[in-house]
Amino acid sequence: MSDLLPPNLTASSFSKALSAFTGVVGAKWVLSTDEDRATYIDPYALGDGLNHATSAAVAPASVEEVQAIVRLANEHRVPLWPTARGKNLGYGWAAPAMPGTVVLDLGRMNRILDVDTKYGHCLLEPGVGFYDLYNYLQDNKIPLWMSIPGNAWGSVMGNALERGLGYTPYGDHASKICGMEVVSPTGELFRTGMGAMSGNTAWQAYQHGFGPSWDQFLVQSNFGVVTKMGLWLMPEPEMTMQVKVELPQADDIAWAIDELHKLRLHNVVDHNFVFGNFMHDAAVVSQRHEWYDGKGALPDSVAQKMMDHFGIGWWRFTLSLFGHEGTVRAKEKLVRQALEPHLGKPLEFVEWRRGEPLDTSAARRPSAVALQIVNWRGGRGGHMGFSPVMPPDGQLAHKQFRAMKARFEEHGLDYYTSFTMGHRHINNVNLLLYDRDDADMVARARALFNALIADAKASGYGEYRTHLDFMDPVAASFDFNGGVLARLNETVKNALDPNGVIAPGKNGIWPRAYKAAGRGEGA
Amino acid sequence: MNPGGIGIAAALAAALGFVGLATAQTATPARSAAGPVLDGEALFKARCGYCHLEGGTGTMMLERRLGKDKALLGQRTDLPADYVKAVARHGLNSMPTITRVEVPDEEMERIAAFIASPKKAGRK
Ligand SMILES: Cc1cc2nc3c(=O)[nH]c(=O)nc-3n(C[C@H](O)[C@H](O)[C@H](O)COP(=O)(O)OP(=O)(O)OC[C@H]3O[C@@H](n4cnc5c(N)ncnc54)[C@H](O)[C@@H]3O)c2cc1C
Ligand code: HEC
Repeated sequence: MSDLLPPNLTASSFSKALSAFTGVVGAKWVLSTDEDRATYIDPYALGDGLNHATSAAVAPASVEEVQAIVRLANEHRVPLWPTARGKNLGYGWAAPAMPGTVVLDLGRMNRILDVDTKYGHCLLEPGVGFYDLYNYLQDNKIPLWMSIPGNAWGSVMGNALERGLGYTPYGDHASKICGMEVVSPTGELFRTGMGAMSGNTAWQAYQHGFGPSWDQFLVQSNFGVVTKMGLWLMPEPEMTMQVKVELPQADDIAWAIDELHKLRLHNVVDHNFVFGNFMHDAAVVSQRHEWYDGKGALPDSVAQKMMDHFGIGWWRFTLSLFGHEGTVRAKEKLVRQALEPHLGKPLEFVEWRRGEPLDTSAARRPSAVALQIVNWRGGRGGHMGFSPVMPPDGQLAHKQFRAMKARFEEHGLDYYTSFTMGHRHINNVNLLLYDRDDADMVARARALFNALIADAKASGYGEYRTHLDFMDPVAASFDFNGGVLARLNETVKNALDPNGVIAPGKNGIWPRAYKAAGRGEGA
Repeated sequence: MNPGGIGIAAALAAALGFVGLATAQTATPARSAAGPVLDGEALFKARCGYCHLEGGTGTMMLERRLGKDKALLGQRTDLPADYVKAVARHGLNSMPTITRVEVPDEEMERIAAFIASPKKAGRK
């Protein structure tokens, strides 16, 4: 790796800044060797990832240290990229949008500050991982359940700040945030919601305060560094039932989404779930060469062989019912009424009651085994998610599926998709799986991604979240009234962060100081 | 600390929302934020166990590349400590890099010494 500096700084001014950071956190926690900097490069990058290389990382251990670092960053004009556990695989890892930005690694701040069993909420520092909270709840026999993403290696807070998804009724993570403590871009400490009143007893109980609400303003933004987050946890239900459903035909998506939408809208099924194609499991338990060696996308005939081998359908999903027994039984009836006539056979539910081992319940345990999918192609594997949001309509989903599949095939990539069902929307999460060492495949994946952004825009869909490489084009696709929202974001950014030190370029929001330096880099 | 074994079917279901296709066991690593100083084995389980216990992605990939007897990193006796440290800091194929914030040097030393140690042969 060659030496890299933040924009607008000389080697000597940067080195002065690092010495100042050292004065706060100690030499051990200012990481600027080539080896350390390389650990912050996205391991799944399309290409070498150097377009998002960091110049150093600094790792504070307390709120006071975060404040001190942010103040010094303003004084020395050093841009910082806050990251919680930094395991944002598929979207950029811990790497910054703008090359040369210093990673503010908050992983050392990893205390579970509070778990309230009666009220069902917790207060966490950035570095608390899904496994940490899970183990804490288990060890202390606390009857609260977590919502966990497919990659559970990361941070509860970091994931929620990205609007991450889990698969229980609490799976829309950003919507379960309740109260934050934040270091502003100029180094001031503030609390949102009821926490703005010192001594308030309902900080984690009520999501708003008096006047405007600021929690959601800190989600997918660069308006502050979050040092504490309140989050609601789900009380253990009396009973759960789960059913796995396989749909043999690709075109089954049309009727299925319509039925599933009704179940979701009326809260019969009250959790997000992956309505995914056969690739999800197949790419974990096998590799592509076991099925097919051709260069182009996996042919349908090979896909059929895979499904036959594993005994799975083209589409697969799991529905769970949570609650008191009476409620769950009533919901079971409604799910049967909706799906069984189409399936032509009875659904087979698995039941769990409180007190039984959790294995048969719809509770989620953390796992990182999903990361295995990046090995689908072999070599140094990588993946990127392309995830537009669309209305939950069967015909639209069918059309989207056919169009996306064709685009993947045109670019010679295997179609891996999920129409993840939200309450009133679909997150159409598509994964581009590639071998990072195959330059041609990387180029095709990049071309595909750009084509998909344009296709989605043409259909009236926008992405819910995106990789660093594509933050600018995705932000630009939100173009109502000449892109007025982007201008509003920048106005706010410049007002709060006059030196532009917090996460320049995050979600396409560029502060004045780095507008020239940042734009055009990356994708 | 470890909430017991969990079938890969369950792990996959947890990870992907589906029924899994295989039947091997995998375990949930513990990663305590605070608490007593952990020894090499405990640190290995807590920091590397996300992927290197039974059913993890590291175990699956090592089995594919090197065979079943070399799949479980915690049972290996053929890996020098320096190699372990180098892989952790630089990554290998789909293994991501491990930062010094995730695992500081003093912890990595203990983990590498545990993996390199011949004494644990055959032990779980
Ligand atoms: C196979 C696979 C499956 C996946 N499945 C899912 C899934 O089911 N659901 C899902 O949501 N994701 C999924 N992901 C994507 C991703 O890996 C996870 O969302 C992961 O939790 C993100 O990493 P993290 O939690 O460590 O967050 P971080 O990387 O720590 O944070 C993410 C971003 O949030 C911001 N941020 C973090 N902390 C702060 C702070 N304190 N102050 C200000 N800004 C901050 C930063 O911009 C940072 O880059 C999957 C990835 C893979 C590879
Ligand atoms: C996110 C998952 C993940 C984590 C966490 C992880 N590894 Fe790995 N590791 C892998 C994978 C996958 C491989 C197999 C790479 C290959 O050969 O394709 C691997 C391989 C290795 C190897 C190579 C073994 C050989 O025979 O060549 C070593 C050494 C290793 N890991 C050490 C560690 C250590 C030490 C830690 C903890 C500090 C760790 N890993 C954490 C995924 C992980």
